[in-house]
Amino acid sequence: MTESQRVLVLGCPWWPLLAAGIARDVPAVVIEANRVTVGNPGAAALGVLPGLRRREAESRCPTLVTVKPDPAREAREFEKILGALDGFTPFIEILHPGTCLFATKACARYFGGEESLAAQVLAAITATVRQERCFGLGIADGLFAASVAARHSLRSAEPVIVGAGESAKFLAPQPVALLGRPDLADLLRRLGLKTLGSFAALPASDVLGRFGYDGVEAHRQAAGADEHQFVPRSTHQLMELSEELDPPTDRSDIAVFAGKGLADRLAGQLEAQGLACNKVVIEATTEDGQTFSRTWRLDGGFSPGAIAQRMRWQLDGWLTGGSGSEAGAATGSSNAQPGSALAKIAIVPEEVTAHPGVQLSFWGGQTEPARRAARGIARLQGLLGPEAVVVPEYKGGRGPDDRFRLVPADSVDLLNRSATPDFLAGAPWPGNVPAPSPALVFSNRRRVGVLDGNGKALAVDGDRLTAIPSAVTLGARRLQVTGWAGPWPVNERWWDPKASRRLVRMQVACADNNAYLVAFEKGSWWLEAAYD
Amino acid sequence: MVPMDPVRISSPERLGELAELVRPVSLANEQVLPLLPGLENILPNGSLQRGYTLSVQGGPGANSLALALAAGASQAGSWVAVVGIPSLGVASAAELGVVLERLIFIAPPPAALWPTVAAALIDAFDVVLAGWPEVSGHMARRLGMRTRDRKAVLIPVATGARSPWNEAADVRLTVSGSRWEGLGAGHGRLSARRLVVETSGRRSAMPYQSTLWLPDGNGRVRLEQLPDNVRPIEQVMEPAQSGTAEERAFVPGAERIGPFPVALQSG
Repeated sequence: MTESQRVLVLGCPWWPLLAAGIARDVPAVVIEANRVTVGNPGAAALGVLPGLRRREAESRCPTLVTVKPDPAREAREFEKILGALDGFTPFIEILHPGTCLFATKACARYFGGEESLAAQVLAAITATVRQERCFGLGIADGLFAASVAARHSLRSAEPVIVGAGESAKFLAPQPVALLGRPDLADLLRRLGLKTLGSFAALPASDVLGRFGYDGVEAHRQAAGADEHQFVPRSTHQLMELSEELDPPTDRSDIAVFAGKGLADRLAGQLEAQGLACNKVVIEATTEDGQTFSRTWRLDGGFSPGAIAQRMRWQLDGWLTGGSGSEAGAATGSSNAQPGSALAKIAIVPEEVTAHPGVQLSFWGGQTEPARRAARGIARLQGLLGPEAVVVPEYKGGRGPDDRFRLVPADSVDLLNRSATPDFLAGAPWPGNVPAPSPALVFSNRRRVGVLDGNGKALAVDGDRLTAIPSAVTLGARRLQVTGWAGPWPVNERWWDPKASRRLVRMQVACADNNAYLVAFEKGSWWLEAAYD
Repeated sequence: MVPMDPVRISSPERLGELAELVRPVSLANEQVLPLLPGLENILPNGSLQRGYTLSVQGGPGANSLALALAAGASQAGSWVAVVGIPSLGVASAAELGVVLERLIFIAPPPAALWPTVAAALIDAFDVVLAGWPEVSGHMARRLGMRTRDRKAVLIPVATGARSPWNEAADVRLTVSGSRWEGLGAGHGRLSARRLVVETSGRRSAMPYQSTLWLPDGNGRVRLEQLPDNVRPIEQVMEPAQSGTAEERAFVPGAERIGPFPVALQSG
């Protein structure tokens, strides 16, 4: 077995919140589909933990700041942190926005040993973030041990350095939950294997028999063995793909679209050769000849969608946010923000391994229709621009227009995503307009008139109508009301003067055989949806 | 194609063998996409046949009907694209059974790009819902041919009684009546809708009406009664009670278009 590599991992578990400019101790969480996904220490101190529902979280902490997930912003802001690190080594790899790693072998010697390097890195990061105790830093043999060390370092506010050859000893008393495989960890706990050490003590062949390929991977990590398996570089050198941008562009949407094409081609080539790639380098060359590059890594291999996503984040980061940090400029690093338009982008697969094979679901995970659709989507994006092709994503809400948002198709992994709303699974959403939902939902609401029997406009007093509705006017059309229900008052975010909304909704059936959803808000009636 | 040996096809048995040889693996009317139970009766043959253009038009309810037609195929793994209907309700699509992971929306393209976009969609997706009101008859026929060629299903949705797709459509589904149930004077809620759908067009032997619940009280699609023209055979064979054959064949809004205007050639 090859000697394990010394790896430094630097990470902030609540990076999405830090990227949004929220201090460490201000209770804040990221909410996705009504669940807390990430919380910072301020929130954790008040008992707001990932997995809670929004309602529960807000009841535990009324001043909780909530943030929507925004991977593009996270990647953009992380570019600043990377700028600060460029003074130490050019070989930084990004695990995901908020966490990066690099091999310490060479630079530890230059910066006076691992302790000294760790202290300097942490000082540089603290100066960039202007906050203490946001980033954990761990050095150990192999990526997994270093990540666990970084997690420990957050608690102690000191870098945690695990000596060479001591990773297994360091990991042994840690809980199995750290493996990042919830199902496996749950099973191991029920089998009485509560620590990584007890799991690592099992014979590898038995683990392979019982838990398969992924189990062996976890077993190696638990034993502190280096999980990287490199193949010689020469096999994938030829796979570098690049594209000239003519004319050069500083618009991120154009660059991102070209990048997506490259990413798809790379994925196709890798697939054709039965290879998986754990690491991609994204490079850009500007008009005046500067070259920028960043390395992204994803253990377990990139899916085509994931490569395209990283490409999008990185190009967005360079062109719109950018580092421009003092550290990057001071060290004369080549990884500052591009000063001119991009002329060429390239993508290089690194650390290419044989694809371990993916177990397709019984009916085939990636079917021919899916591949055909993906090609069609790329074609349409070329015709109409990347923003014109959108897919629905569930976000939850009360109004007909609040429940879904439409996101550009190239920002999500089309083949592995879940958009199924929980209201179909029977989960209640109090205050919702009851099913069936309207088939036409107007995102720009139109003003309508709701009239009583004398032709006078109706109003809402408190939660009551001032008269019985008898007609609705839609532009020049006047429709007799044949049935109505409501008013259903909605009072959203009453605690926030800026975002608060107070309205009443009403279903009306009209003489044109159609039914409409109208809302009374700020003194007038609006047509929200039609039950077409 | 390899020229046939004249001796071999001369004998009738050989001819039978040859017919068996050149028979398509699956016949055109066997290439169908799944349909939600309850919708079979509104389509001729009771199935959503690949290659068809199904023009959906008429009053309120047309959009829901188009979504319901796509739902069965979507659940079976087909991708559905929606172009030119930007306000289509996603929640409603999900409730009718369309799988959101395989639903794509395309913004209405500029007029000059419409044909290209529509053609690209027909190439890539099994079911395409299109709201293109200004299509010319010529273009509609060409897209219909492309749909047949690519074995997709094109569902143009139009409001109003006449759709520009009428002449190109294999089947026309006209929503001629709609009535919501469950709403009183200030109480209740919309719960179910009865929809009268008229089936006509080239592939439908005779125009007929069906009444659907879309949705019924449980959010499903259900047929309320059998189509008017489905009667026991003796009744159909009897001479008509009133009017001549021509009079009976004529149903307003479902006039037949003359001879098939498109050359039947495979592209």
